Amino acid sequence: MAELLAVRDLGKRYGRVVALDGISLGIAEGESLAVVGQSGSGKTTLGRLVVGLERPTAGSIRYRDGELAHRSRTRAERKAIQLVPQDPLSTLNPSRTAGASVALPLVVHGLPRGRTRLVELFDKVDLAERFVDRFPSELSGGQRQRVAIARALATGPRLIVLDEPTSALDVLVQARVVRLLERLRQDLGIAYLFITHDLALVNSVANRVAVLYRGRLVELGPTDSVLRKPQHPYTRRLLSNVAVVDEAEERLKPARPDDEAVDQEFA
Amino acid sequence: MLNVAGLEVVIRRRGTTARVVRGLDLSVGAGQRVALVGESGSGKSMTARAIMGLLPPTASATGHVRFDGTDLFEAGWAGLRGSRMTMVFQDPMSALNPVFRVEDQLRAIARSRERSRLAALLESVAIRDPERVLRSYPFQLSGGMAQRVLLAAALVNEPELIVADEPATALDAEIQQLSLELLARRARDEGTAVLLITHHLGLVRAFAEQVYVMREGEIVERGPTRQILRAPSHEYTRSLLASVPRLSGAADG
Repeated sequence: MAELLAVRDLGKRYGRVVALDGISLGIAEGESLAVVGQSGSGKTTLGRLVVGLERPTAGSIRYRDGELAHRSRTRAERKAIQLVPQDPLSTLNPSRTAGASVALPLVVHGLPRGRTRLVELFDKVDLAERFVDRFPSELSGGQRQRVAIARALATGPRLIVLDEPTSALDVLVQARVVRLLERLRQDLGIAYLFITHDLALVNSVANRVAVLYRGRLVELGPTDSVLRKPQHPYTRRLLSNVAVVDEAEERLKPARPDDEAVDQEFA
Repeated sequence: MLNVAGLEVVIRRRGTTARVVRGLDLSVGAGQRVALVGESGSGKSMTARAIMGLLPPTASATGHVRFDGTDLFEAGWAGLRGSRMTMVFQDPMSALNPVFRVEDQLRAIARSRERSRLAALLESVAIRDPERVLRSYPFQLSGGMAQRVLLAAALVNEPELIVADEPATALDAEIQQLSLELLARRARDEGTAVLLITHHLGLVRAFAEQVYVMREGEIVERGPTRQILRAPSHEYTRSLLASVPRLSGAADG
């Protein structure tokens, strides 16, 4: 698979605070890469840099043949990389209908935005036509997240950054949204950067996983080997905190390393 | 300690009424850890609010909520809520008052106001630098730290019953586990009754001895946690169980 996005030695500082330091990773066409870490690990910052909401203070971001890190993005590049935020309630305009929110990127990018196109986009996320005219307050959490996904799909992206797309949802709704995302990836060949704090979710959503700790990449590998043979104590600690539902799963969890072990390995 | 019998909660919305809790029975004994599990809209949070007397103005409740033998729908919550029975809320940042320092917020509700006791309390919820946290405003705290402060606020008067509504759901798993460990320790050491409200059966397994599964306002299954997780008899419990993400492979809910 051709590499779609390549991040090299990426860094982001806010004044004296180092949010990200020396991150290198790549995403292939149609691949899903999970980025895992606790709050403060830098995972959301990485997503914002990839989408172009902020510029890095070091390193490079290559999309196909273009270096994006230190310049304004072209219209085509902005269309190609889209974001689904964690909390759609705070990013969907409460005074616009769901259809109007999905139409906005179509307007911005001068794409066809008739009712037919909106209905088509809603259909892709399994929402019936009547939801086009609903307001965010009239939608459930899962429906709002589907609207946010439809909005991200509107410009025909090749890569979507999903920032904790299911962490505000309960497990049943989460399972349905995860299935929808996987189907869209297969049907449309879109790549995902799937940001989550939930290591248990990674198996359902990604082929490979990157683990961030205090702004640095501590582990990167195929999902199966990271979950079964975690190399870094921080990954083991994340795994040890997963709430599982049976004894077989319990046996897959490593013992919880103490903070000192994590910090020593990190230093 | 807590006994709920025939609880009904009705919400009036735009001239229509919805029965969100339908004839619910539930009890939590001293020192017991009980979970009420269901998805959003199942009525579990309304049940928690009815128990605490914190229903929104559009909702009304009938039936019986007895605390230590007293029927709260008759006697009210005065002198109980905030001291003998307390609640841990979902979102620590919205539950803490942004304009007061942590110390002042704890003092406002605490029976004993000695600073050393407050510091010891914060230490007991795994806060390593209690003096700094006492001086802080909520916005100066990380989400995990704010969640611990919220737990401390629920524990400050040594309540006999704690209702924890999805504690730290929005935060990471480590804080979630820590919150549950601290609550379990209270139950074991002080005989506190704890009712955990959650949608996640993994947390139920880690925490509760008894579980009630709630769907559309009704209890569809109840019993010892181990038994229910090993051999759920209701289809809904099975689908909740199947939708929990697996380390060993994809969830299929």
